Amino acid sequence: MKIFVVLSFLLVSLSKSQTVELLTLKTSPTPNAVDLEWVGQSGKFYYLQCSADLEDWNFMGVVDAGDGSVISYGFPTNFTSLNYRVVIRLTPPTGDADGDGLTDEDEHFVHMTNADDADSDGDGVDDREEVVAGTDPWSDTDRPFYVLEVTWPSDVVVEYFLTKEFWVLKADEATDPDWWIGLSQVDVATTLDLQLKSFEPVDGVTTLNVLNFRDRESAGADQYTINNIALVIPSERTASPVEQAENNPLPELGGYAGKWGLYPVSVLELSPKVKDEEGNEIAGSEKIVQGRPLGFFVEIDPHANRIAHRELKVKIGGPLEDRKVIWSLDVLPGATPATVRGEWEDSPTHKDRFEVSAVYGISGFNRVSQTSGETTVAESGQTAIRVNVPPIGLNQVRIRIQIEGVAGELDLIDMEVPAVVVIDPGHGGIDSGAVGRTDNSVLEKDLALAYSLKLREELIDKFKDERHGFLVKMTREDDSTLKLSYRAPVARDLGADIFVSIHFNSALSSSARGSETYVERTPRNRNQAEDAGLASLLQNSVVSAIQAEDVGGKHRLTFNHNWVLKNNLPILGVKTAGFVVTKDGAFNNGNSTDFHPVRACLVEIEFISNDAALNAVKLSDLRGIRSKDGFSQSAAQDILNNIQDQE
Amino acid sequence: MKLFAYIALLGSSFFLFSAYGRSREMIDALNAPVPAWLSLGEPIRAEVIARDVQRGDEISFRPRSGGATNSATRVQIPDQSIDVELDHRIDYFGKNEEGQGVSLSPDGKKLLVNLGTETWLYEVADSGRLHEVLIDIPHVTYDDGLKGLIFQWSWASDGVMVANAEVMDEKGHNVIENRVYAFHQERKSLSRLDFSALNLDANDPPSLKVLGFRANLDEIVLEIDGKRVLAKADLKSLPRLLEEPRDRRSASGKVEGAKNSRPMPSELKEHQSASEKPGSLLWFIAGVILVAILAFFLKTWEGKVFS
Repeated sequence: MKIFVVLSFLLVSLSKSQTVELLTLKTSPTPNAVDLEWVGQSGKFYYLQCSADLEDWNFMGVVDAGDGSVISYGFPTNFTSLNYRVVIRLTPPTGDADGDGLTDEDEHFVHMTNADDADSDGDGVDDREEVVAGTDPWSDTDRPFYVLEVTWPSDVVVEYFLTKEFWVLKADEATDPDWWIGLSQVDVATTLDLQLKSFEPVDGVTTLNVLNFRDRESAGADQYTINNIALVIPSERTASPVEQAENNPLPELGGYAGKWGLYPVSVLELSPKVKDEEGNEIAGSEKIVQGRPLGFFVEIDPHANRIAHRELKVKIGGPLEDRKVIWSLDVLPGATPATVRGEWEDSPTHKDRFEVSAVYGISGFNRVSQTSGETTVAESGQTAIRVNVPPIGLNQVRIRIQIEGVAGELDLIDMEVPAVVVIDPGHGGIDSGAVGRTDNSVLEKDLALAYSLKLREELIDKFKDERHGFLVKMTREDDSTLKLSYRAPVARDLGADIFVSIHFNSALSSSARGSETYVERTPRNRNQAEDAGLASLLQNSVVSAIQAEDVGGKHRLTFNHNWVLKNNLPILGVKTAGFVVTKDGAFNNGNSTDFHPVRACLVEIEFISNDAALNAVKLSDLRGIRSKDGFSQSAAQDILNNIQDQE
Repeated sequence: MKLFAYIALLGSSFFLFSAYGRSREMIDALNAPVPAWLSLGEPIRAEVIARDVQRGDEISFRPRSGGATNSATRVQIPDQSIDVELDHRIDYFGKNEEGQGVSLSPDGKKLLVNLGTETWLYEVADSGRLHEVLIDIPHVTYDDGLKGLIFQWSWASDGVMVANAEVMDEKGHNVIENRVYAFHQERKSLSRLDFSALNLDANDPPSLKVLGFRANLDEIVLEIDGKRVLAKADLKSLPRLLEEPRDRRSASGKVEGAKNSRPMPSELKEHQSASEKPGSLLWFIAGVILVAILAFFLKTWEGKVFS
């Protein structure tokens, strides 16, 4: 079946910020497939639409922001004839047009859902709920199991909500008031799909031993386990067997009168709030997130703190007033790497996993340090604690909450130290850096910025794909002049894992070429091996990217072979220098607070004083765009690997 | 053959030291003449009172931010309950509790906002709104010596500003010298703070950052290579002028470059300051090498001829 892809050649002004215009689209020769490709212009945002009749256009859920690089989109199709057009907007997709709780930008760029339809797949569940639950918002057969209805013994309705903040097992109000319940060994969801289960009544059994619910997309890794679920006892049933049990008496719990229920622990507040790259607080960051990315640890002041932390205020329930809450912390099961890296003892001021206030208060902690976290439930049913974790990017931990005297955990909270990467586009503003020898419109500052922005984009995609928390900060995002000594402190102040400075080289000799990467020289460099490890990854990536477009791409060999051999590193093109931006002194590496060394290097992509190299990197040439994209994609993976591999 | 090798060596050394060059724009900016509205004052001598001051010990000092904070586009003045979004970016480098891109005057009425080598001045109205005011502020070190750019002006008092300056090498990878300058707004005079008494390492210049000021403007808190240093420096007295401005009238009411006080091209006026020829240091080094190689060559040549 031959596919007729009719590309509309329309130039229609839809609004001030939205146009449909003629594009030269490359199409796929593959049967039953459409493969479109066009060059996205900077400052424009592209949406793909299709139509059978050229009148009723349907949004296809593809969008990209133009940055001068090629935008590709391919998909299978069974249509024999269909029209496609690209809608171009001049403003970024913001807001929430369909009111489903996802911003238009996230729908376009992250989730690929329909920004104009709250329920992209029409299965009755809004896109946001599907994203949170981890189901496919484009599949009407893949939807969250929000409600499980179980009839037992006759009219009991069991409701299950796929969120740890709201574990509820309750009886229907219409239930025969004379019945009573003890639940034994409830075992739900032995497969990835939640199943209906019948609960067998057992007289006199007072506790639920285990109740497992599994997230369908991660068999075991994200298994939520609650042991010893407390039961809400209706006040009129004070003589219930639950309370009469001798082995594990439970207090009478309020809040769910007239219903049976799991005892919920809800995280009321995480503080401080997380700030974005622009320094603005992220709305909702005070709430624990479900699934991945995990909740953030943050560093308020890396100078003094040198520890990642978060203060948790949770509600356990008024009936448990004065009961002791025990907190413990371990590496998250299934975490990569499978360890919490760094040592609490290395922190100058916060050497304990938990810190608590002597008296519970809504704000502030008296910081009574202790190695085991213990708090007491206040009259309000709330308690709070500060959790400390070594500030190594992608450290993932599971925080367990237990009630003294009750076996098993009451709840689990999973959190992560976000990866922090600082990208430094060299030069800027009136400082153009090097100038292209045979094309003086090519300036080092512009190339460095373009390559850096692409690297940021790839890093964000990479971290989102891997569902990690992250912060990617640019020292400059535009053509502004930046003080040289301000660049490295950005990484210091953010507690960054990695600092990468992007530059292009120049020499009077037009034959000079090759890629090289610099780290600070010893003895001032306190973590040269770590710097060199990062540098070697990026060096190989940049050479591979350039060689893919020009056979002359190569490592610019170091003069310091002894250093290479001494460090037993197969590093070609990695050199040492005393550049300001890679100095450990600027990162506070190696001082008394030598706890979280920043790994830093400066990449000289190629010599723009060499004609062949210039053509392989400049952005007016398709090869240059591919070099930029190739380097950025590979370097993003390098950086993620390096953060995960750091000790 | 040997002659060819010498020539090649000479050539490579020339290439080595001529590998990088500043852009025309940068060269023009650094060699710009002193603007007509600006006068240069004598250096203000600074002397060390205490080294390695602990954080918090300088509590009696006013921070350079004046209590204002900022994000990449927002300014906050907590004491006045002001939180305003600006229509331009601000210096923001991540954690920013001290307000790296902004500085509020002691009277709380004037706010300096910095982005690289651009500076905006806003008047803080009683309503909490910010009104932009035209201002002349230099962003080039016009005084003697190597030229650099001036960044991040902040209020030391209601009429005196202080900023950091950075002199870079031609490659743009290293800082040759860090300096601090004071600008007396009414007289529009620029003076360098003379840190010779601090015995800073000239071969490996330390980072230098202004943190705060004493109310009577006779002491200043600096961060030198991460350590806090308390220094005595008379910022209040008007330093004696090195040179009178040639045309004060052109400075008053000047509009060009005033909106955000860009150093170029508005500051490119009138007479030339002590000029720094681009690449002079590298040319000097190349010259030394050239002489050395020629001497070696001649010696070898003599050996060939006369032995």
